[in-house]
Amino acid sequence: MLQSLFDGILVGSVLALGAIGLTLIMHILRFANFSHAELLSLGAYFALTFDAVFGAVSNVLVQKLPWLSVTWSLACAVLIAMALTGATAAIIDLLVFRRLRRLAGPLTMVFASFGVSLIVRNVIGLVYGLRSTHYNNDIVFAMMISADPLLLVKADQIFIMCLALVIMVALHLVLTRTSIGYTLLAVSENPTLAQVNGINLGATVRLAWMLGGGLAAIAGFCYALNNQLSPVMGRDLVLSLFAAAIVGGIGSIYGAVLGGLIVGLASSLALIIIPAGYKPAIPFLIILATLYVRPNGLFGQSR
Amino acid sequence: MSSVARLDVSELTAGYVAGMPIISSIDVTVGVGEIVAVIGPNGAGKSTLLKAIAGLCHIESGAIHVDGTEVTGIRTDKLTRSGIAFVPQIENIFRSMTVEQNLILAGRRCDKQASSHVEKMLSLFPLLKKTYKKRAGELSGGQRQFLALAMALVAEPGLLLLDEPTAGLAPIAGQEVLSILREIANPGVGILLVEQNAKAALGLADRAYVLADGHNQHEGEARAMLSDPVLGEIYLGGRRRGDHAAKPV
Amino acid sequence: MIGLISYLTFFFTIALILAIAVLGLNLQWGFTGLFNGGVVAFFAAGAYGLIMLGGPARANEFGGFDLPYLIALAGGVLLSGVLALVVGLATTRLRHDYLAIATFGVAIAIESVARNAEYLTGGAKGLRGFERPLEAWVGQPQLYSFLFLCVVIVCLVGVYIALEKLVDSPFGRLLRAVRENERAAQSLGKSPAHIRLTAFVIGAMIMGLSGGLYATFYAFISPQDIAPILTFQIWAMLIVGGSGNNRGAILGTLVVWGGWVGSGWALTAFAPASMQLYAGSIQYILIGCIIVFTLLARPRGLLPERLTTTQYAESSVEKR
Ligand SMILES: Nc1ncnc2c1ncn2[C@@H]1O[C@H](COP(=O)(O)OP(=O)(O)OP(=O)(O)O)[C@@H](O)[C@H]1O
Ligand SMILES: [Mg+2]
Repeated sequence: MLQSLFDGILVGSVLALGAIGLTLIMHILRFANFSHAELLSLGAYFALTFDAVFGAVSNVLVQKLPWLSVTWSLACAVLIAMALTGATAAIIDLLVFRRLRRLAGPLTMVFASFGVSLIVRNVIGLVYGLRSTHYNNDIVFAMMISADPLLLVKADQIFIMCLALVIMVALHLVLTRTSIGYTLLAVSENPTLAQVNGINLGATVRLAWMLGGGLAAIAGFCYALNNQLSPVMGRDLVLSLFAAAIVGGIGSIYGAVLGGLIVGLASSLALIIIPAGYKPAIPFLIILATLYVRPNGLFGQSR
Repeated sequence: MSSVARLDVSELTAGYVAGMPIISSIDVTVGVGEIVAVIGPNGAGKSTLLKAIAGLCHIESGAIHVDGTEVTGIRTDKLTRSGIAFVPQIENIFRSMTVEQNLILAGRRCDKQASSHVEKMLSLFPLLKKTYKKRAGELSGGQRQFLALAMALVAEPGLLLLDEPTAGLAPIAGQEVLSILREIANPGVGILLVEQNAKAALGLADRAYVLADGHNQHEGEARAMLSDPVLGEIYLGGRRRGDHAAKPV
Repeated sequence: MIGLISYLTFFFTIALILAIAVLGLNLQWGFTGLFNGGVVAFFAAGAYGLIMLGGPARANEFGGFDLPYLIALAGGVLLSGVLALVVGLATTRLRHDYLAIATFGVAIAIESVARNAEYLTGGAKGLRGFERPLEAWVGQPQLYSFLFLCVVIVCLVGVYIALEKLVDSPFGRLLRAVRENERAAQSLGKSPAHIRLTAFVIGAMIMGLSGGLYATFYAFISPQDIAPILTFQIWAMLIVGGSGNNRGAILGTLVVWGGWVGSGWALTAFAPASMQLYAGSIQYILIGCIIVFTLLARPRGLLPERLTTTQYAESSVEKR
């Protein structure tokens, strides 16, 4: 039980990071982006690639951070992966979604995002192979925090939680204190009024893609660090991310954080009573329950 | 009045969908320091006219000049950063943000250090001082309209487009809003004011246009219109329809 | 020669069964503008429903009622309809992309039930032992396959005619009104949510019929048959053919299914051995590209919709 709670919060904080970008785009551009989860895989694999590059360049970088299985080169690689994933998200928008926004309605973008997710996922499979891998093949032992109730924790997991927390606090500060933050909040509440107040919508949309992509990269890295890298990790996560965004209320960044934690906890706790094989279906049940009971989620506004 | 008008709209045809204009061949001018009212029945296209000027509609033909420069088809955010302010009829404040954040955001479009402008707004609208840290969504209807007006004025525009600023307000509050407009216009700001309350608008404005069915029906001195028996029959009588403020635009 | 004929029979049987599902999707997306991200769920409900109701009894497990074929088939179709109702009731009133998410989710949920609920679905090994109707009576397997193809064609034509009638009826005009302009439909005094729900459920039942025929053909159903890619394939078929046009939907099915089978064959025949493992990935990328490029370059498909009520392409000129 205690272990389930811990795992739930861990998965939940990763989902929260991933869902923030999803909810922003879903709100600003008014379409459910099924390819968002592929940005998580992409970020995770970018980090893998640049980890190898940095590791080859410098001996110093292959040292591990204290207590963790993460090396300095991997840590640097994550920063590059964030930037690259953010840029990729913006480029996909430029090539596909932006054109469709001009030509057709939001549902056509939803449709295209299915196509994009298929392409991205399988290109990753082609490039990196279909087998799953790890950042680090050393065996990491978990510490037993408590024996009864059992609680096993790895240092990496604590690291992931702290990282997620730091990023969320930073994001909160950016949103509430900086002009970039105001711009994002304004556009996500009312794009037309934002324009009336002198905000460049196109630039803000690009910014939202980059922010969402960057956060997705970190989320993907955290997920892969805790589990493994696999080309289908996006497919496995996409429904949970939607569940987090819907539970929190589309457009609410704080809702996405809370929604992520709720979905993570619910999935983890549900496995106590239902067989593990049904795990993929849990987010669906959460979504359905939310839509029946509180369709606008915890913090969402109806449109 | 200087030779160049603040706003000069000529032969403007615009709408929301290409090929389906809502307003046709509209001519409107607003001089420096002039208050010009636009009145007309519900659905006449008054809001559409303002939105078209603000770059939020699809323009089929015609031209819009501001201070002598053509601005037809220019993106909204560029327009509003260059001296035009627009207060939409509904949803004219950011409900999820505080009053302070709303004002700072709006002030940012003129220059980086907008704090002095914000101060000015607070002295113009003392009501906002009390609610400074509140979420705008929690404000009363009147407070919202003041905030929306303050957000438009904080960037010190030369041209102000107002869509029914008194809608849904108590008569006294509405009167207060309108009297502030006179103060604003005095130093030279041009104001294009859409009003449902035609009597009050004509009482305040210098000139006025009557819009019906997307066309210019009538234009003239506001005072003269106020005493025009035919117009009075049609637009100033007791024929105001339901609560337009609640209507989606 | 016999080999070719039997192969063609096989090819067309599968393609035309899928074409029925594409017609169902066309009712939802093409005519009503409803996004169904989990076509495969409704296909699966029809397939599993049929075999559970019409299959032989299994020891200690649910299902296997050995019902007469038509009743079992109808049961499967009904199951698809009920599933659609549950999802539709939650979503047809809400943001339009919620339906996409919920249907995508229902497909994942159904797949995990198919994989895990052995008691109900036979789990990973699927449900076997279904006796195809009249097979013993016909005797000759090749003749049976041919007759079965004829039955599929009859079903396809039946669904086609019914849908053509439906979209030409006043109800069909309502569907397009809902697709084009929710507010206008509302002003006609009809509840758009109700209309959307009806179209969604009917479309899902047509998909269920397709699934039922599919399961009949193989006399077997397992989780492999209801992989998520099927949804994408069916979507690609519709968009390539031209959504909003039933003949386009059928044409698109033949083109895309031909391309899928052909590319699979070409990859097996010509790709180097080291690449064989990735043949599936390459085919998936092809499907993804078909979807994205068709939407960008030829959104109206090979056979565009005949009656266009509004200039949909221009209706979002709002500068965003
Ligand atoms: N976003 C929109 N898309 C399409 N049509 C619209 C839109 N907004 C308004 N219209 C239509 O344009 C016409 C004119 O509307 P507009 O809002 O300009 O009228 P108005 O004169 O401001 O009326 P009111 O006094 O009610 O505010 C109406 O027929 C309305 O239905
Ligand atoms: Mg109006």
